[in-house]
Amino acid sequence: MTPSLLILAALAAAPADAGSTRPGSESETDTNPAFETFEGESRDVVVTATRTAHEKNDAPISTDVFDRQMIQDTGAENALEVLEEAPGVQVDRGVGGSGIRLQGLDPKYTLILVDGQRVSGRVDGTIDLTRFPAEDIERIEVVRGPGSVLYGADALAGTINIITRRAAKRWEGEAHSSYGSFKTLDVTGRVGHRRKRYTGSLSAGLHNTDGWDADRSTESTTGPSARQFEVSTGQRFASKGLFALDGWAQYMRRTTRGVDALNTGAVFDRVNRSETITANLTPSATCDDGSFRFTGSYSLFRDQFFNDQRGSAALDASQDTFDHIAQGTATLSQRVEEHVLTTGVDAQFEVLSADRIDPGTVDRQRYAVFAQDEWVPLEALSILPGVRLDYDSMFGLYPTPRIAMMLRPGERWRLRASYGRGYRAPTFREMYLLFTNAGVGYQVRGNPSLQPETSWSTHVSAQFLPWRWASVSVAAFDHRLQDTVVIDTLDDSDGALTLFGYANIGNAESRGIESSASFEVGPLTLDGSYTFTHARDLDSGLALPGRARHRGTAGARFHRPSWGTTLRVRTAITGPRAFYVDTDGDDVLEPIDSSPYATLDARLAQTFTRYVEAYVGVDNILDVGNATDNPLVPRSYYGGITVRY
Amino acid sequence: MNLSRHLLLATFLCPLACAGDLDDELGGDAVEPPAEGRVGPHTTSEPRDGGGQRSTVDASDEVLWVYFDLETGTELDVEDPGENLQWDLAFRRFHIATNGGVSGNAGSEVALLPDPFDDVSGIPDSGFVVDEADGDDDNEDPDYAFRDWYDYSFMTHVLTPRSQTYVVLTGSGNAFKVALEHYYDEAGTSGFPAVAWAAL
Repeated sequence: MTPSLLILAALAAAPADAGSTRPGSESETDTNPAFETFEGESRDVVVTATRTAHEKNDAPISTDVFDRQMIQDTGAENALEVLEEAPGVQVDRGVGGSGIRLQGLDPKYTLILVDGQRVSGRVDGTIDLTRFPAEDIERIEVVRGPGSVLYGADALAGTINIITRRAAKRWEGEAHSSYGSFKTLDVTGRVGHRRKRYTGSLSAGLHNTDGWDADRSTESTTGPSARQFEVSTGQRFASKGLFALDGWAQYMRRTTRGVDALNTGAVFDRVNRSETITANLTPSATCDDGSFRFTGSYSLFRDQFFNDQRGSAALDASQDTFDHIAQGTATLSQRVEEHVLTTGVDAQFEVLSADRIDPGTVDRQRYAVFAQDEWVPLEALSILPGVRLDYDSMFGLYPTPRIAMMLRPGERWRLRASYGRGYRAPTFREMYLLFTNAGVGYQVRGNPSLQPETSWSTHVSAQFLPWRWASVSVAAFDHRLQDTVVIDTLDDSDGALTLFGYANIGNAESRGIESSASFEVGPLTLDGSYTFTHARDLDSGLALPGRARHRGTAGARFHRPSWGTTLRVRTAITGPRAFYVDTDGDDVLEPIDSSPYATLDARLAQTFTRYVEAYVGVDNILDVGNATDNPLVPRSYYGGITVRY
Repeated sequence: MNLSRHLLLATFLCPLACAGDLDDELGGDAVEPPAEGRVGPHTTSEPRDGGGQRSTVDASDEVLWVYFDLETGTELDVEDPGENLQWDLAFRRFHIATNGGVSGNAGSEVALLPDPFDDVSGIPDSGFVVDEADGDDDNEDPDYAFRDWYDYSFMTHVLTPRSQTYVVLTGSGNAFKVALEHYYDEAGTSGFPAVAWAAL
C-alpha cells in the first residue's frame, strides 16, 4: 500500500453517494477506506492515473493492476516477471537490462515509479525491472498513455507504479525458497507487525542464477549469471488525529557476469555490480474534505562495470557510475462540491557521475507545478482537465496538458477518452556521452544541444462489465512523437572508427488496438487479450524494429480453496517482428521478419496447511527463443515452498 | 666445358644474375636477411608460410606512428620522418604511410596490383603513386598510397584486408611486395596490422 493511496483514499472517506463515480469515492465500505486499504486487503483501488484513489473499474483513466494475489499466483520473483505476460506488454531485453514496451514504444518512454516517486538508474534508456524483488511489491499499477501531466518527463507511453508492500496483519512472517533450472535459487524472508498507529516490516532476499546461453556455437552468453541480495523496511506512524508519517527504504546489490564475443575475435568477460538505495519519507495530513502530503525521496543507482579481454589487456575497461535522484513532491487534494482539485509542486535534482561522460559529473534540476480538476458534473460523467508546467534547468519550460473524461451510460459500461502531451528529457548519456569502443571500432558522442522529445497522444476505450464475473474492454491508442532522439552517423569516412552522435531528427507514431476479456466461473478464471500495434518511423516509413504487430495472450487459473489447489496456465503468442539486417554485406539494411512464437507457462501450487504452500512450475514449455532476436530464457523448471504466518 | 654445359650453367645462374642486376639497376642498397622475432618495440616478424615475412605491428596508438624499414626488416626509432630517409612504411591504427610524397622525402612509390601476395613476382611497369595531400573526399587525412587496403563493414565495424598486393619501390631503390593480412591480433584487438612482405 502506497502512502499516496493511504492519503488520497482518506480523501475518499468524504461522504459520497453509493455507486457514484465521484472522484475518490468509496462506495463499498463505511469504514475508513484509507486504513482498510493500507492494511492490504484485496480491493481494486488504483491511485496512479490521477493521484487520487478510485475503484479500478471506476477510475477515469484505465489502469491495470497486478495485486499481491496475482504476484503470488505467477510465482514471479521480480517486477518484470509480474508484467511480462500482461496484455499489451512486450518485454525488451537490451544492454540496459529488461524493460517493457507499452503500446509499441521503447522502455525509455515509460516512467517507472516506486510509491509514486521517480527512481534512478536508466541504462540505455531502460530501468531494469528485474531489480525490483517481488517480495517487496504489494501491487503494480500500469497506466497507459501520457502521464506527464502529473509526473513530468518520460511518461509518454505509460507509467508503471510499483507500490511497496506493508504489513497486513498484527503479526506476520513469511519465508520462501525456490530452486530451478540454471541453478536459480531464491530465498526470501519477511516479518511484519501492525498496530493501530504503527506498521512496520522488514524483508530480505537472496537470488542467484547461473545464467544461460541460447547459442553454444559462440563464446558469448545470452543470459548473464546473477547474484542479488536486498534488504528493505517500511515503517508507518499515525497520530490519533490527522497526521501520519510513512517511510520506506531498500538497499539492493546485484552482480551479473556474462561473456561477449565480438566479430573481431575479441572475447570479453563482463562483470556488472549494481547497487541501489531507494528511500522515501512521507508526512501527511488528512481531513474529510482534503489531504496534504509531502514525499521526499532519494534514489541512488551505482554501477561498476568491468570488461576483461581474454588474451590481452588492450581493451580492458572499467567504469563507475553514480546516478542520484532526489525528489520532493507536495500534493494537496481538496473536494469542492462536485470537484476534487489536486494541485502540487515537485522539485527534482539529478546528478550523474560516470567515466564515460564528458564532463565527468553533470547535474540538473526540475521544478514543476501541476493541477488537476476531477469534475463530476453528472453522476455518469467525469471530466479531468489537468496541466503540469515543468522548468528544467537544461531545457526551460515544458507544459504538459491533458484532458480526460469517463462516461458511464449504464452500470455495465465505461467509456473513456483522453488526449494529452508528454515529453521525455534526453538523458545525461545522450547529451554528454564520450565513449570509444576501439575493440569494435566506433565512437559515440553525446550532444549537449539536444532538446526533449514530445508527443501528443489520444486514447479511447470502452469497458463492458456484463456481469460481476466478466469484463470486456477495447481501447484504441495513437501516439505521435516529434523530435525523437536517434543515433546518427556523424562521420563514417574514418574507416576503422565510425563516429556516432545523438540528434533530434526523428518522428514516429505508434497506433493500435488493445482488447482484453476476463471471466470468472466458479473456481475457473479465464482471460485473453489481443493487441494490434502499428509503430513506424515517419521519416523512413519503416516499421519500428522489434515490435510485433499482432500479439495475444490467454490464461486460465483454477483455484479451489477447499482443496488448497491453484493451477495456472498462461500463453502469449507474438507475431512476426520487423528487424533490419545487412543480409548481403552491402552495408544496406534489409528488412526481415522474425518468426512468430508462442510461450507457454504452467504452475501448480498446493497449500498443505493454513501456513504452507508448495509449488512446481515450468516456464517456456515450448522452449522457444534464440540468441539473436528473441533472447528468451529456455525451458526451465522450478519448485519451491512458502511458509506464511 | 662444351657449349651445352655452358648453356645449362647459364640457365641456373640466370635468376641469380637477374636479381642482382635488378638491385643494381634500381641503384639500391643490399637487402639484409630479414630478422625474426621482436624487431622493434612494437613489431615482431616471422617467416611466412608460402614465402616472405610476416611482420605484426602494434599500431594501436591513436597518435604515434610506428616506422618500419623493409631493407633491414626492423622497426626504426624515427624522430623526424621528413628528414629520415631510411624508413619505408609507417603505421598508425589503420593508416599506412610510405616515405614519399607528403609523408616523407625518400621518394618511395607504390603500385597496387589486384593479385594475391603469392602470385606477385614482378614489378609493374606503371601505376606507381605516392602519398598525396588530402583530396576531395570525406576525411581530412592525406590520401595515402595504401588507403584502400581494407573493406569496412558499417554494420559490424569490422575491417577486413582486401586480397591485393602493393609493390613498394623504396627510396633506396629496392622493390618489395607488401600485402595486409590481418588488422586484429589474436585477442581480437584492432590496430595490429599483420603485413606480408618480401623483396622482389
